[in-house]
Amino acid sequence: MKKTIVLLLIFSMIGLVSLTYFNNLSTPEEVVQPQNTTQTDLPTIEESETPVITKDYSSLKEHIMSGGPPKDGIPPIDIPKYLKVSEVDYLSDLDPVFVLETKEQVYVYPQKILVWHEIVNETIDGQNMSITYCPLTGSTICYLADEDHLDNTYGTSGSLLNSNLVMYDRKTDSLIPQILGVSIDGSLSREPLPTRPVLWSTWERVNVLYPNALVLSTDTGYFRDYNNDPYGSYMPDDEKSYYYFGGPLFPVLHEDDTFSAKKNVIGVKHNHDIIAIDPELIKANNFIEFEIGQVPSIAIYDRNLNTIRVFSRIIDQEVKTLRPSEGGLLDENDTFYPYLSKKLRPMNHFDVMWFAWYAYYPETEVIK
Amino acid sequence: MTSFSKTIRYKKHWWLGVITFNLYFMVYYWSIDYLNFGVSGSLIRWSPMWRSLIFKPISSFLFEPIGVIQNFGIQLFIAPVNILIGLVLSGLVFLNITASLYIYKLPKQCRLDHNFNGLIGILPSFLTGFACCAPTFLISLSSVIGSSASFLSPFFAWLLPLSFIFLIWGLRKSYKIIQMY
Repeated sequence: MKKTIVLLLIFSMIGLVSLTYFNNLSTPEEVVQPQNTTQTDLPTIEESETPVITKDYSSLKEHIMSGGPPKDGIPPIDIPKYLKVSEVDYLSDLDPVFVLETKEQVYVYPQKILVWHEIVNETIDGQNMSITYCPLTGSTICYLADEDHLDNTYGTSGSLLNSNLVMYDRKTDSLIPQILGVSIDGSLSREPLPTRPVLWSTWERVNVLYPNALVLSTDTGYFRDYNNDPYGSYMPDDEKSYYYFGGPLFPVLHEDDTFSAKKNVIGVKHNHDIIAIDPELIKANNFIEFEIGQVPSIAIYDRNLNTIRVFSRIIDQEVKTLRPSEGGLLDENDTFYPYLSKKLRPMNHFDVMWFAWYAYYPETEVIK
Repeated sequence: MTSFSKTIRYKKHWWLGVITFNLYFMVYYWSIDYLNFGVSGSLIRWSPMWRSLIFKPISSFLFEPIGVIQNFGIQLFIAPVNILIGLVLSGLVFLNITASLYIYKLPKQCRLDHNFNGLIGILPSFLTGFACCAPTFLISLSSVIGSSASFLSPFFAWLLPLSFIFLIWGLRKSYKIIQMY
């Protein structure tokens, strides 16, 4: 009797270990095929001007480490469902949300859902795009499919580099660190993936400004406690929150104390030029002008969303003097350019914790 | 009479074992974040993709829930493999508890120092929740030892197997003593 019990338990243990191991090896089954792959005419960030990165990032591969979960153990949302603003009852006023604007529609992605999934694979205007969020580095970036694989989607590899999410692409299984946005392993080209701006805001602002927006539903196909953020919260009074206090959770390649580790900065990239801007400086001055890689640019404070937007000041091949105005920018001739104007080129920029930005880009220029 | 029959002979021991079985299962399920309290609303939902989720690991020994039941402030995620793991662990704890109580009842000279051997395996399984994708434990630990805390991460994967090993080892020792008397 005793021997039978012990043997049964040992076999069940071996079974469980094998199950876990073989499941780790398996590739994800749920890959959403896009409805169509027609290129949209909406502007992406410097898409046509993106050069091939010559910097050798392949050495970064050896610094990738396991974050704990297996591949897609943090499951991306592949079939996102949306609610109308009036139907949303799971968000509080101060809940952070990520806003993706297109000419036709505004999409809202609550941080409390993305913290459990990190990637939402979506097809918008016939174009595959992935809204990615890494809670460990506070970075939200919308990546478009690689132009050689327009029906590509991204998954979570379960690994980290500089304490930052490492994505993989489901066509070639290449590894792409989220902040870097460039494949460092696999057959995907070494070009930076095209991006679209994603703006941080709060629910109280977004639901007033965009009453017709579509908001990501908690009906994600997975079951998580969406009212509980495992890292703490973005509420200013949460003194124990990972988002505000302490250092990185995993080792990073480079460290610097120009700002505190978790300080939010606006990271701007153009080719090999890298700048970090203190958002408080932009808020205090309403806007700042700067140059990155010989591109005259402007970073403006959008009061309605309490967020930062960054644009090139080159319009119709002319350098303009731009000033923020309600819903867009005005040039010296009082010509108004709405934020989504085809003439305005958003620069590749996103909010990110200082430690993570510096860990990838120790050569970064800092505007503070 | 087998060791098992001996250990459940006393009603009091049996009931203590049953209570511990239930408590252990609840604490295990809570520790992996699949049992939550203070949740508002009522909800029963199943995943249409349950077949692809049921054996999908989220982390070591942690599997994707395929449904949720929520009412009276309690939220229960249904993850069949983790329910099975919890039941096996709780079963082992039940056997260890009843065996330990039986040995404790033996005359002092027979007990030697073996009275609560089996209980050593109880703790590690609660820590399996730390191995999940929400590294709450690492976050609190990192405030003390910084990013070095991450090096403990692979260790968490071994906590559940350790629990099994300790519980089986404790049970084996206890039953050996019981067989002697």
